[in-house]
Amino acid sequence: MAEEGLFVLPGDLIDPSFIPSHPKKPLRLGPGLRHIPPNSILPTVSGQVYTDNRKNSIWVEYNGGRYVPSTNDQVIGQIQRSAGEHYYVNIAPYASNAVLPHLAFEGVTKKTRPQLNPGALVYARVALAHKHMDVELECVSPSTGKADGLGPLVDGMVFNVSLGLARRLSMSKKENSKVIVLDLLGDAGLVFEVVVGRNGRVWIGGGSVADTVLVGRALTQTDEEDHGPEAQKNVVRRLLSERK
Amino acid sequence: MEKGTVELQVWHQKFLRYLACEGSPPAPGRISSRDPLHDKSSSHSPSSGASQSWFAIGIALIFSSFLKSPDKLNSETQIPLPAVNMPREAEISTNEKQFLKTALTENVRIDGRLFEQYRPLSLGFGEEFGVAEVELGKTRILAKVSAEVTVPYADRPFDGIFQIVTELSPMVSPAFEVNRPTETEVLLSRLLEKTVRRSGALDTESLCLMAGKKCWAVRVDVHVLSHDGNLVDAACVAVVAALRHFRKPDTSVEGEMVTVYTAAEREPTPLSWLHSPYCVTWSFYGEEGEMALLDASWKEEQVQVASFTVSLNRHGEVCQIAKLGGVAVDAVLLLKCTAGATVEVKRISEMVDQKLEEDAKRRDKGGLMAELRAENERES
Amino acid sequence: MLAPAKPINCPLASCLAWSACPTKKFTNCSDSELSLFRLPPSAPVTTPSTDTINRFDLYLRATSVLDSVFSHSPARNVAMPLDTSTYSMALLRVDGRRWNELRRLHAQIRTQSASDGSSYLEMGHTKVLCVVTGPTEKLASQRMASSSSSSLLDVNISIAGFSSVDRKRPSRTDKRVSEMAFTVQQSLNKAVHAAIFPNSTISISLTVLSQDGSLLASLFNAATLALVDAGIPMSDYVTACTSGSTSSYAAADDAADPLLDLNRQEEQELPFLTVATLGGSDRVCALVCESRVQVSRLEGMLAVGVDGCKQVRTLLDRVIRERGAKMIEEGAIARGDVVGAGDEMDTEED
Repeated sequence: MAEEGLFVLPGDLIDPSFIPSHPKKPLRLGPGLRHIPPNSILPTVSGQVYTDNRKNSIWVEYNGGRYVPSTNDQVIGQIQRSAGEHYYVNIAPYASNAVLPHLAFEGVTKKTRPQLNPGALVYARVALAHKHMDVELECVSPSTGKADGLGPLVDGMVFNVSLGLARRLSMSKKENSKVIVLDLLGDAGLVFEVVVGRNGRVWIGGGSVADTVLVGRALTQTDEEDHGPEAQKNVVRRLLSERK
Repeated sequence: MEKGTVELQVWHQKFLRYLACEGSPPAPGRISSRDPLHDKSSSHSPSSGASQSWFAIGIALIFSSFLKSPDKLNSETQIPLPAVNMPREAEISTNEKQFLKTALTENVRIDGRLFEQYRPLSLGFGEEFGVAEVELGKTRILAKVSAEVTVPYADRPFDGIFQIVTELSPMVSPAFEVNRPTETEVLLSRLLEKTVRRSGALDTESLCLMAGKKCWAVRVDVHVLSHDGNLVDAACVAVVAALRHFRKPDTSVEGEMVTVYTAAEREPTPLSWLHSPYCVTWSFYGEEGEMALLDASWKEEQVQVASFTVSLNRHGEVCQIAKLGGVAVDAVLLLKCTAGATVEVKRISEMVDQKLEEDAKRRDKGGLMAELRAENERES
Repeated sequence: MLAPAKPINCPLASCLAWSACPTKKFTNCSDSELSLFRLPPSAPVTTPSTDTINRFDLYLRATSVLDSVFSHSPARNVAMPLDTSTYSMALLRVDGRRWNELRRLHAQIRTQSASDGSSYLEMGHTKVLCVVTGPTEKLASQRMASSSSSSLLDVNISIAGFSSVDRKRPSRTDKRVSEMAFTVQQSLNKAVHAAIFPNSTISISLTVLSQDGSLLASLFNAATLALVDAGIPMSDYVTACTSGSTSSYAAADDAADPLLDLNRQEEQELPFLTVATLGGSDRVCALVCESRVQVSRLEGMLAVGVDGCKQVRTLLDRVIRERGAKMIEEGAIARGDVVGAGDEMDTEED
């Protein structure tokens, strides 16, 4: 169970009592924190510190800024070009491209690999995010060899949201994320698929054009006006009434 | 992260690759002139001492990564150097292009607007005279007017000087660089020039103080704060509103003496304003440009096949028309768009007039007499 | 090579109303020499002398405001004795043309032997030389610079210092010139089948030798001719011309006529626009207007402009066909190679 509290600025000391201590599991540092050997943990961004005692993890929740890739993030990238054995993929504007090997898709050989043109979208996992090297992506799990939903995205529309909302959307527990727009819209009978990239891009597809636009507008409004659950209900109600 | 840091990282990555390519210097054509490694004059370039230390770190990192995964490094060496590491605007993806086009054929815009609907337009003024900020959806533009007394141009002794300066700085997006005008910037400044300056909105003769010797130079600086499409319309409203809001110091001429009074001595005077032109931009979509949209957002602008900007004032006078290329659009549709623009211009014009009036009311504290009053405000 | 004066074949249904009127005036005037000085039937019934005075007065007032509009135009003479008021009586313009006549249009292609395509075009006294090089492979620097617009064409305009009345130092950063280059590039880009040439560039260099109005239109026409000469596949000619209106921007000026193909003198005094259309259609590639004009005048001006573009297209087409036929005659090209020509050439082969 995640606990919130404690607003920190970069370089602030975090009270050691706040850092979870699990007898067996190693401490996991999430985004926004940096381990300075031997034993101090300093925030590198300003935001709220969250902890999860069960997972023995601690991270800083912040909204905004540029997307900084970290390993295992699932992102939506845009193919820029293909050269050698890699695709060059844009995952954040004005950042250098990430590389996606041609063979990093489920069950492909050199002959059967997907042919992606510049401008195509892929849903990929960050395999390597080293500060001084190009980010590497993959669309297949290296352990199981399965795609697990990763791969090229066909049709649909991409909406840009803040990094905070993207992170909240990909949380498994709704009570933590406080984003209920998608559930409300789904309950209202709209048919759509959603793919959330941690780099602030949300892909919506699978339904009619009007529904896709409606879901996108609901999401961007929630994001821009920073709506709570009650306000989200109002947004959805208003948009649905416009639809009819 | 700061821009400097980002640039250093980019440079550093390139440097790493340079080292990985068995120390052979990269081909000259492949390194941009902005590369700090080659361009020491660049403001962000590290000093030579710093570059040496970077060199050392570079080698250390090469070694460390070599030790960790030698095969990874080999694969790295095969990656060709990108031609130039210029910051690039994220272009719109094929999925988005396709979606926007299909949506338009179904009469849907991605932000739920009608085809002929503007985004909400808001206008605010600063504390000072002559500062206006316009928000059109997420597009934000600030215009600031300043005036100084100078010598008029020799060939135009009876006219004051009036210029509009546009700047698209890296504040909007890193793709814009200072002092290197992009196509967007040139077109924006030309459109503003034609709409406001050439159409004679400001009476430049009234800026003359002493023929051939002294005149006012009025300058409007247009700063784009954020770009979400339709810069022209927003910038035009900002420029016109700022100029109409501006007050220049009052002056008097006696013989060869020009006296410029401070605001305390004499009430500053507004510029002599003749008419207020506003731009309305249409974008066209479809094979033959048969669909016309008003006030396209940045995403929509990237898909448009042609655009058409017409500047009008509220009296129905066209001040400027610009359809600078793009797909050929039927002449009748262009006329229809112009007719639609006249309606839109009336609306914008009313909005600006109303805001100016509100601001004037807010500032009006009963004139000079109220300020000079000796007694305090009575408590009732 | 004056275009035949014909009643305008107006494609815009709503413009029929006004197009009927000038035609009538025109037939009236051609009755005899004397009738040139007769008042048109639509003019108000007043004695000619007072009418002239009124109009001249109006003209004076109009020009004083117009002066401020055109204040920064480079070659502005302080006292411009263009008396537009005489137009309403004689229905003849300063250079003796009628309202819907083009100036002499003379054009040549293949003037520069060292280039892939070239042309020389005169519209009245406006003289433009165009050289096309390409398609060639895009340089790396060009590829990055224009990566977003991925433009096939690269247009350069240089205006000779001696081209206009006042000698002007050519400036590299003239925004007006770069806007014209942008307009030509963006318009031709859509007419050229760009998909055939991926990763290539075609450079179009335009040199202005002499300026006498309709500059942008001449640039368009010269560039089109040179592209045809270079054998670049295009969907049709992009032709352009200017059209103006005899009215000032005063709303009450009902007797105003649209004018075709303005010279420099007229451009400085009257509102005008430049129209470029694709082929003989009513579809407008580029429309540029830099002067103040009543919105109601626009329709007439646009219709005349579009019609003028059609006339220009016929003239340019004739130039190309004549040259093509000559080249086949001389054996400069093998029969079967089609040089910008259509059916006529094909039938000759048979």
